[in-house]
Formats: sequence, structure tokens, C-alpha cells
Amino acid sequence: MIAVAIAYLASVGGVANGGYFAQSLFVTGGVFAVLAVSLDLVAGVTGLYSLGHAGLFALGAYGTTLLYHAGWNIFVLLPVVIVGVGLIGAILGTLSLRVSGLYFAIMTFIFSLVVTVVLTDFPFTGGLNGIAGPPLPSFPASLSFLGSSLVWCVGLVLLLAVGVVWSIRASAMYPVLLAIRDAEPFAAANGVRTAATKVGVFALSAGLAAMAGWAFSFTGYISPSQFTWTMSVNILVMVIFGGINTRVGPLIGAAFVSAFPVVVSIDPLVQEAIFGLIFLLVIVLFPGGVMGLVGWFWRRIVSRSSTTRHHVTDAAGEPAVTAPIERPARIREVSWPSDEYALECEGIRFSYIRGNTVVDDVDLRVRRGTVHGLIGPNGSGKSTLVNLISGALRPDAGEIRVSSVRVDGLPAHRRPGLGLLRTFQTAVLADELSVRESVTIGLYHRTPRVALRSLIWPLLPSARRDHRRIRSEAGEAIRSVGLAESWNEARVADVPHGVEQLTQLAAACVGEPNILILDEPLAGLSASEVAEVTEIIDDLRAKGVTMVIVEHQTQFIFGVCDDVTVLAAGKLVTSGPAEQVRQNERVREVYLGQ
Amino acid sequence: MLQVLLSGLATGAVYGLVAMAFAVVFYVTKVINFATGQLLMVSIMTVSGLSAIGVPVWLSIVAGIALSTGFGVAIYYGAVAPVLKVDRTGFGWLVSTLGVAIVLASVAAMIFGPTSRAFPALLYHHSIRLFGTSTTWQEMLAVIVAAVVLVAFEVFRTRTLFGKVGMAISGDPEMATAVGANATAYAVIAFAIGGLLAGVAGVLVGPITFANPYLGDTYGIAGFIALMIGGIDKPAAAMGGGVLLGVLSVVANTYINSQASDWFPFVVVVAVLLIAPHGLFASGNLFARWLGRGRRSAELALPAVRS
Amino acid sequence: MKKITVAGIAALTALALAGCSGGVGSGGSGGSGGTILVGGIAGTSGAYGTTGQAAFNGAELAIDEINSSGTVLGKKLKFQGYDDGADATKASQLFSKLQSQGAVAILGSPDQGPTVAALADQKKFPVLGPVDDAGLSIYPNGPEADPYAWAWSTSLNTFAWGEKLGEYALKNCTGLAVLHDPSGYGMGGLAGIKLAYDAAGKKLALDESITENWSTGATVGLKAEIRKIKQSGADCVDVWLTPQDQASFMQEAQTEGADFTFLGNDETCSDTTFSGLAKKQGDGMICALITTDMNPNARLSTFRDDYKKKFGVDATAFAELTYDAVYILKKAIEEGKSTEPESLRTQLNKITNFDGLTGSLTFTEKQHSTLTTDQLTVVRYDAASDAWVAVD
Repeated sequence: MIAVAIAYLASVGGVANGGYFAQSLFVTGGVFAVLAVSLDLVAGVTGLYSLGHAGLFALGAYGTTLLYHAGWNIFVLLPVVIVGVGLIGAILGTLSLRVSGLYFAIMTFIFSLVVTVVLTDFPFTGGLNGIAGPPLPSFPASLSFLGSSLVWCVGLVLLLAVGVVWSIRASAMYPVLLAIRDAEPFAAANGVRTAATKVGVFALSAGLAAMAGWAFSFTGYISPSQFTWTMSVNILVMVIFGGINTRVGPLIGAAFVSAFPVVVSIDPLVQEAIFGLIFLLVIVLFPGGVMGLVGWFWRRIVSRSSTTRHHVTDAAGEPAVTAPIERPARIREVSWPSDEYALECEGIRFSYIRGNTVVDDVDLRVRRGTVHGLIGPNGSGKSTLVNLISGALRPDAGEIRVSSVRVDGLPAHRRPGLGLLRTFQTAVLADELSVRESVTIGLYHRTPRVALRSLIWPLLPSARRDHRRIRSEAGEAIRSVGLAESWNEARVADVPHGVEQLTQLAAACVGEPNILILDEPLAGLSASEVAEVTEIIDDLRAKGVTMVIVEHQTQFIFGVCDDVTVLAAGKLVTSGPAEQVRQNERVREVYLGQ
Repeated sequence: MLQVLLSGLATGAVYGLVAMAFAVVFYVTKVINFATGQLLMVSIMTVSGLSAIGVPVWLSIVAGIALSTGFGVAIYYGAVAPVLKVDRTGFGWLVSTLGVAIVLASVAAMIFGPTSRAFPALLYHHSIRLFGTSTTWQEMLAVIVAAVVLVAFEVFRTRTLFGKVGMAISGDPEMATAVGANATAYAVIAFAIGGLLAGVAGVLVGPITFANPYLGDTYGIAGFIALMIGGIDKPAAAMGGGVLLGVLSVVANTYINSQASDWFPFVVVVAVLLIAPHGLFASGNLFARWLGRGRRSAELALPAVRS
Repeated sequence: MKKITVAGIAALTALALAGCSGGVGSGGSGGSGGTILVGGIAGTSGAYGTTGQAAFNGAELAIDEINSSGTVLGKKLKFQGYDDGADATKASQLFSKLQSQGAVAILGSPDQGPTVAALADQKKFPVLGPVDDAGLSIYPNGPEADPYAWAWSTSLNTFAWGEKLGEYALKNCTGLAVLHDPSGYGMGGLAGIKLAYDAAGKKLALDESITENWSTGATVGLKAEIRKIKQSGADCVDVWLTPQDQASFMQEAQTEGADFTFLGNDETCSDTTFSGLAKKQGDGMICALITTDMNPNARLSTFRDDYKKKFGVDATAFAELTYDAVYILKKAIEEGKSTEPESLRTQLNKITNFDGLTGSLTFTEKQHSTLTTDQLTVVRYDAASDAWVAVD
């Protein structure tokens, strides 16, 4: 990495001493690259598609220029503008919490339009003709060998932006962000404050865009036409063209978009038409962008020479779950709270839409250290109850207490702090992450200040240590649920359902819960995988973990659970020791329908 | 005052047609065709170009609308379907339709030149006096056409089999396909209708604005804002948004100052998005939403948008 | 990781090499050797492309003539024009580019006059010729104050046109309403009209600022103005907007039965945009033309023929005034025997009664705009004959 940085700085110096053509290309391309990288952070990594970055860019440039004309020093203005526009970005980010992806994109689009109108119509912003940006002072005579100060300014700004974004990509925060994008419930269940993180990432991105604006204001005149919504689209195109959610993609895209009009210098209308055509073709034919193409070629070259068959298959042709000879400990010995009930629910009522009560006055008490089954026919409200307990939903009425702490008003991400973790019944993991990365998310709530340190992750020894530890613990957890080490780097998209479920389980185990809710853990598993899960549950019970298991396979439930609660049509049928419940007349009636 | 309302109604009728063009496409395919404004422009330029070389006006109009409809379908096949096939949930179609918009505007400017050209006056020079206000038949035609389109569309959607299948596809495309609805055919029809509506809007507004290749931007954005104000989940709501936008713009111009029509629509749309993100006339009464049912029902509506 | 590092280093080295080689090549190639480089910045694409193109054509025609009949200070002239797309940021970047290429002066910009003139002042570098609408581009603080020291305009002058039309309105209207855009162009026209009205001690009936859509000219909301104009009691209205808007507004007013007399601006009669769009509805529009254009002398006729032969289209005022600017520049170079900025500045301020296509042109320290009301004739559009006819 150091080598790249030095080579980069050397070439910046080369350009700074070079001709006008190279300099102006670098300056434009550099500013665009910062914008592209900032957009990729929110759109590619975190999944918040923004068409408002032109507006943020504009605020950075105009903010710098107007405050400069009011007498401020341009270098003081850099942090001022970053923080100011970052706050605006935070406000925009909070909008994303209220509406879905498409709506958010639309809102940011409108934000861009509004900024353009403000810039055009108000006299102090210079109207359509714009205003002259501040002049960047040249280097003093002793440093004049460095060449153009503007080139260096842009070069350093780009280095900073890329540095921050690449840091985040290399940190333990990256899987978390990807989970927020593709697997939000999973992230929240593991203690990620998804709302605050989204706002924070958007604010950071806004700050980077503002920094681009700051640098851009030194290029001469700034006018509203540079910051229209088409610019927002251009930035998105740069990201998609180069390859979304890649390290180098946005940079390639920015280089292309900035070089195109200069290199292809023909009739501007023809140029526009060709440009539009390129957008179209890239999206339709190569949605992965340039880096997607590169990756495709690379994989073809690599797959010819290496063995990718790292999945062991058993006699039936199914990928086997291998049990290592010696099982590492799954849960460290910790002292558990000594209360009687780990989980208490009283009078829970919930309906999705008015008039259709899905959970109706249900009580549930789970004794500490036991395995508690939750069963009932389809539509009885089991999964809803689990969602209510884990905080994904809020009950209309009733109380929920975890280790005697009232939780029914708290959001989902507060549960891990109280020792409550859960798994999900359907596939909830992010497809692009590897098995190991998915499991590391389970350690998020046990690692301090991940988000904050991610900005300069590779530079912090503590971060590097933590990252090594996280990865090795995740690896241990993966093996402890019976998956071979060769699964570690497999992408979730490529693994079979059973492996994905076991990965979820590993993520939960690594989080060291004292209460674990398993929502239909056996769904879609093969016989050997079911046996594996049973062993894991026994192991957890031996360590003192309290468990609530929702399942349809009643044989399994009555074999494994100490207590069982039965629901039907949202109401509590009965609850008590497993054997009692099994003999209960009403329970048999309720299940006859199945 | 009545003069202002009437003039706003006429402007709004055109905005509403463009907004409906957006909405119909979105309703069936969950895609926003950002080249809709350019389809309006295609029809205007065709009419202008053909009538300039002597083709009878009515024939030019037919050609213009046919061309905008045809381009609408072409956009589906060329820019949207291939993208959706690869990734149903991403926003690639955003970039591809914008690419189409840029290409259309540039090619039009190459063919016709970048400055405005004459457009047949149609009914624009025939004024009528209504309740003491004076307006033109062209503008009244816009209002009449908009009303007819609105009623026809609602009837079509709720009363005919075609329409009901359309609603089913809109609500849950996978389920609808599973029970035999041909989602692709409906998508093509939706894009065709979008092109048709945009083309008609072009013919209605051409005599007033003349023919310029960059009109697509102006009307595209206006139609889009109207869509956001009215509601994205039902085409009829879009028409409502268009009319509201038209009236508010003219009112702002008259009573605030002549530059108000620039920023006033944005104030409105931002307010709407904050209070009722799915639009003022979206399904589910505005007041019901206000009374607190909003959050949850909005969440329910979201999966439809996400997928 | 590895593949990225390798690719990255390769790309960066390539970039560095490109940068260095760029430096060797294009340092000061423009003006050295046997040519004098004259730069041009104009919008040659988009809605106002024809104006910019005309300016460049006029410059090229002049330079070809000069080169074929001899040399200037022993060197040939070369013209390099760039498209600014009517965009201020691009215009400022092109300004730096031309300077780095060694241009001695810049002609332009018809669309970004204020930007280019301000840059000229900042960089102390001569800008002349088609500087937008002259007016506030050259005199940023109004007609009574000093102009930019480094910008000289032979261009259509909003002050002159405004004043001329204002004088007409004073004589023929009971009240004048002015609709203008808020940019330097519109405000310049307003300033010109006010010159006439202030001199006569009268006030305008209405003064409205309208934000325009420059590329399409399809401005919304002009209809609301009709009511306001009627209420102000004005019988004349000067629509200082784009020709598209002027045509559109005239139509709207007439469909509403408003019986105003319409006045335009310098663009209304300078080409066929307005007349082509308004057609019959445009009958009676008042405008002003450069007098020499109306009765072309032999020299102007020759110019027009040569222009048509070379470029295939009719010459317009912007071509003529840029042609004049090139010849004025030539004179300034020859008189001062230098292409240095200071020398050019001194010489340009001494140009007196220069015989140009657009009339007799003079620059002084205080006068940096050639076209005045004396060089204009008021005209009226006659739809029947599709011609602009002089008004007495």
C-alpha cells in the first residue's frame, strides 16, 4: 500500500509540472473521482442511492467561495465546509430512514433541483453567470519545484478521500455496512444501530463531496450549470460504469467521464449522444461495470489454474458438514444471571393492520437455563412473537422483559447488549459477503468503536489486532458449528441453504448470548445437518444458555425442549413442561388440522 | 382569480398527462422512465418537422404521437427489460433511461438544430370567453383531453379484465405471473401508453412553447414533480398532482412574484414528501395517514416499491 | 489485492509519463514561431450556437483576408476558437487554456460576456469583440461608471438598444412595462431604457424580473404578466427576453385580446428566430437594427457575399462585429509594433473613427463599447412582407 501511495505522489508531482492539458484533466478527473468514491460509499456499500451529490458538491463549492469573499481563510474553510455540508448530509440521511430506496433517491434528486434553483435565483450567489472562485496561492519560491499548487491540492484531497473510503472497506465495518444494505434485520439483531450508521455514512459521504467542492472552487468560475441534477447522474454513472462497490471502479469511472469530452473532441451534440449511448450500453450489457468485466476475465484465468472445488461432498452428493476431530469450545464459560426467568412476556397483543390481531394476549415465560419450544400451526403467530421479542416489531400492548429488563419499547439493536440474540427462519445474510465475514458481524456488538476506527483502520495497531482476533474467532465459530474451514471464504450467494443456516447459527454463537432464539432452525436442512444442530443445542444447554426454539418438527421439539408453549390463531393454547404439553388434548386438536 | 385558476388548470392538465405517463409505467413495472419528457419532445419535433415540409397537420400529429408511442415501447425493450432481467431490485434502469433521454435530446438537436422551431398553431389562435375570463380553445382542449384520459383510465383499470390484471401485476408481479398473467405484455402496453400520453401532451402544448429539442427536460421534471406531489402508486393521483402543480405555479407567479414559479413547486413537493411521502392523492386517505396509521401502512406499501 | 496494486502502479506511472510529456510539448507553442494566435471563446452549440458560430466565422474570414494580403509584424495570424457551451466555468477554463497556448487576445464571449470580461480584468489580458451584450458586461457598475479596463466590445450593446427603444416608447406610448430576465443581459436592457426615461424625467409603468429557461425559451408563467401589465396602465411592453419568449408572449397576449404595442431587444431582429416563430402574430413588433446593415455599402455587400460563399449561410451582425474586432486588433498590433498586453491596451484606447462594417468605431479610456444609439435605426416587423421596415 505504501508503494502505491509513493507512486501516486510521484505522479502527482509529474502532472503538477506538466502541461496544461494533463493538469486540467487531472484536476477535473480528481474532483470527479472524490465525488465518485463518496457516492460509492453510500450507494454501493450501504445501499443508499443518492442523486443529491451534485447539490452537496455545489454547497461545498459555493460555501467556500461565498465565505472566502466574506473574508475567511481558504484553509480554515476546508473543515468548516466539510462539517457544514456533513450536517446537511446527516439531515438528508435521516430522510432515508423514513422511506424506501427509490423514494430516497427521488428525495435526493429533488434536493439537487432545489439547490440549483437557489443558486440561480438568489442575487448573492451570482445567478446564472456564477461567481469567481477563490484563487489558490502558489507554492512559495522554496517549494516551487513542486509545480502547480492546484494539482497538488486536488491530488492530496483525492488521496485523503480514497484513503478514508478504502480504510472503511478494509475494516471490520465493511461487512456491517453491506449487511445494512442487504440484510438489515440481521444487522440490527446483532446490535448494529442501523439508523444511526446510515445517517453517519451519509454525513461522511456529504463531507467528502464538500471537500471536492472546496477543491473545485479553486479552478476559476463556479456557476449553477456545473451542479445540476445531470451532474448527480454523471456521478452515479461514473460509479456504475467503473464498477459499483469496488475499490477502483469509481476511479476508473471518474477518469472516463472526465476524459471523454476532452479526448473525443467532436461536435458537442454528437458527443452528448455518444455519451448517452455509452451509459445505456454499459448498464444494459455490463451492469458490473468495467471492474465487473475485469473480474470476469480474472476468474476465467484463475479458474483454469486453481482448484475451486473446496466443497467436500458425501456419498449422496450433498455438500457434507464435516466434524473436526476435536471440537473447539463454542461458548466460553461465563457466569449467567441468576434470576428465575430469562425471558418474560405478559399480555402481548399485536396486529399488522387494524382489525386483524395476529398475537392476542399471549404470555410466555422462559426459565433460565432451559430450552423452551414454541410451536403451533401455520399462522399461529409464532414468528411474529419472535419478532416482537427480538425488537423487530413493537407490541400494541403488553410487556416483554429480558433478564428482568423491560425491552418492549427498545429497538432491535439493543437486545444483544442484554445478551439476547436470534436467528432467522429465511435467508437473511448478505449475498456478497463470505461466510466468515457474515459471522464477524456477530462480534460487532462485542468490539468497541468499530465505526469510528474504520475511518483510519489500517493505520491503527489496535484495529489491526481486533481485526485479526475477530476473524480468528469467527473461524473458530464456523468450525464449531460443524462447517469445514474451506467454507470460510465462500460467498453466501454460492453456499447451499443448510450451510447458510449454520452460518447464522455461528454468528449467533460467537456473540455469546445468554438467551438465544432460534426461528425454525431446521427449515430446509438435511438429516446430517439436523443432527449437527441438535448437537449444538445440547452443547449450548450444557453451557447454560437459555434457548427459545420455534419449530414445525414437533418430534424434534419434544425431544429437545424442557418446556413448550403452544399457540394457535394468535392465542395461547397452553404452556408448560414438554411431556405435559404433549399429552394435552387441545394441543392434539389444534395439530389435527395439519 | 378565475383567470388564474383557468390558466393554471390548462398548464396543469399538460403536467398531469406527463405525470400520468410516468405513473402508468411505474404502476405496472415499478420503473420510472426518465425519458418520458423526451417522448413529449419527440412528438413535438415530429409534428413541427413534418408540417414544415408540407405534410398536412393532422397527419403530422398522428405521426408524432405514433412515434412517441413507438419510442416508448423501444425504450422498454432496449433500456429497461435487459436491465430488469439481470437485477430486479437495483436502479440500473435509472441510468439507462437517463442515457436514452440524453441520446434523444442530442439527436433531436442534431437533426432539427438546437433552437426553437415553429409549431402549427392548431387551436391556439381561437380564443373563447368563459365566465368573464378569456382563454384559448387549445388550452381548453388540454383540460378536456386530460379529463377524458383520467376517466377513461380509471374505468379501464377498475372495470375491465385488462385493467384488473394490470392492478394484480402492479401489486405482486410474481404472483400474477404464476396465475397466468403475461407480465411482459402488460409492461409493453404500459410503456406504450406512457409514450402515447407524453405524445398527446406534446401536441397540446406545442403551439404555446414552440418546438425545441430541450423541452424534454423542462416537462420531464415538471411531470416528475407533479407525480411526486400527487402520488406514485396510482395514475389518477398523478393527474391530480399535475393539476395542483399547474395551479400553484400560476398562483405563485401572480401573487408572489414572477420568479416564484421556480421555487414554489419545490416548496410544495418537499412539504408533501415530508408529510405524505406517497403523495397527496395516494391510496389511503391523507387524513387516515395523518392519524397515525401512517407508519405501519407505509411500511406495508414499501415491499411493493422495493421489489 | 495484489492485482490491484500492480494495476494501480502501472496506471499511475502511465499518468505520470503523460503528465511529463505533456509539459514538454504544449508549453508556449501557440505564439512562438511565425504566427500570432488570436483566441476565441463562444457558445457554438446549444440554443445560442448560431451566434457563437457566426462570431467565429467572422473572425476566420477576417484572418484569412489579412493573411492572404500580407503579414502582421512579419507573422501570419492564426485563429483558435473554443466552444464554451454558454457555461461560465467552461469559459473560464478556456480562458486559461488560450492564455497557456500563447494567444495575444481573446475574442468573446457572446454568451459569457460578464465572466470573460471579469477574467480579462483579473488577469490583465485583452478581451475584445463579441463580448456578449456589451452593456453591463463591459460596464459592470452601470452606464455612468467606468468600464472594465481590459475589455473592448464591438458587440450589440444593450445600453444602446435599450436607450433607442426607450426613446421610441417615450414618443409613442403612454406607459411602458418592461419584462426582463434577471441576468446582466436583462438588467443591461433595463438600464438602457432607464437612460432614456431618466433623461426625460419619466418613470416606467412596470418593471418585472422573469427567470427564463435559456435553452428552450419555454418560460412558464408569462400569462400572469398580462394581467399585471394591464393593471399598470401601460400600453406598451418591452419583452427583454429570448426571441422564443417574445414570440410566445405576443401570441398569448393577443389570444387574450390584450392590445399592447410590443418592443423587443437586439436579438429580436438580428435573425429570423422571432419572425419565424411569431409569423403573423409578430406583426408590429418594434426593434432596432444597425443602420449600416439596413443600407449596406459596397464593402458590407462584398463581405456578405464572401461570407455566404465561404460558409453557406447568411452573415449576421455577430459575424460583422467580430470581423471588425479582428481588424481593430490588427491595427492595435501594428500601431504599437507589439503584441504585449500593455501595448495593446494603449493602442486599443486610441482607436478613433475606425471604418468598420458596423459603422464608425471609437474606443477611449472611458468608452469601451462601440455601438451607440446614433448607429441604430428603429424598425417594425411587417408580417405581410416578412421584413423589418424602418420607422420614422
